[in-house]
Amino acid sequence: MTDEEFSNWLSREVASKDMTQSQMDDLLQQKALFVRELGKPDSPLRDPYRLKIVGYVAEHRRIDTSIHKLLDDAKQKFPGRMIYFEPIGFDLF
Amino acid sequence: MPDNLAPPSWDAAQRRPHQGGQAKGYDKGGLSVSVSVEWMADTGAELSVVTKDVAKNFNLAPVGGSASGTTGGGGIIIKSGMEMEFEVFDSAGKVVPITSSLDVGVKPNNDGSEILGVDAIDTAGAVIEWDPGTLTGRLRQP
Repeated sequence: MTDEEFSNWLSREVASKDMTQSQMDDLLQQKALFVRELGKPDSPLRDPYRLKIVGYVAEHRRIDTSIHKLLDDAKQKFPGRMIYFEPIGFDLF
Repeated sequence: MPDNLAPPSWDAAQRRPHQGGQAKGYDKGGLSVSVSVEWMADTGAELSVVTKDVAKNFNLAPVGGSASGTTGGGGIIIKSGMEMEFEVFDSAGKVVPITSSLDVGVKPNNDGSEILGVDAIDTAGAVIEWDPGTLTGRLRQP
């Protein structure tokens, strides 16, 4: 999914009141930080995180091998904030 | 032991294991909502995922998201507030109803099945057995 497709999807979520504007802005901000620090999918900057899920929440990088542990950790440490994540070197489904 | 997995109702020849169940939650007005779904038991899925139209029945809280990380390159939004109901057999073959409250992924579209991932199967303490030749199988607790 391209950046534009992702952003458009979030905009539709906001329009249908399934997400707030601030949640959308937060998620896109974390996504931008992810890309700034780890680059695009073929970037060697991602190599150390292979087979892990890397997330950014509240401007903090979080790493786990379990998506639910990553989410639970984010919710516990940064309640109300959105986490942007990508699995490195594998797909979630 | 009997079976609780089968091809989906819309395609009896499909070789992937499905089970009828429910997605439950509350709508935006606070009313309880239950939607019938056919879960596809997917050992290749780290988390359970529902389509856009199933998710829109509920008032779900977004937790996060990703623009990649799915087969085919699709994105996903993670949301809380929906329960997945399905069933497994216990070691004696008795039906055990399971309710999972784990966060779910929401697809940007209605492509593919509602996915019962290994997260929910693990929550149930179950294993999956599936014979793609006979199109029979089961989720069961060892």
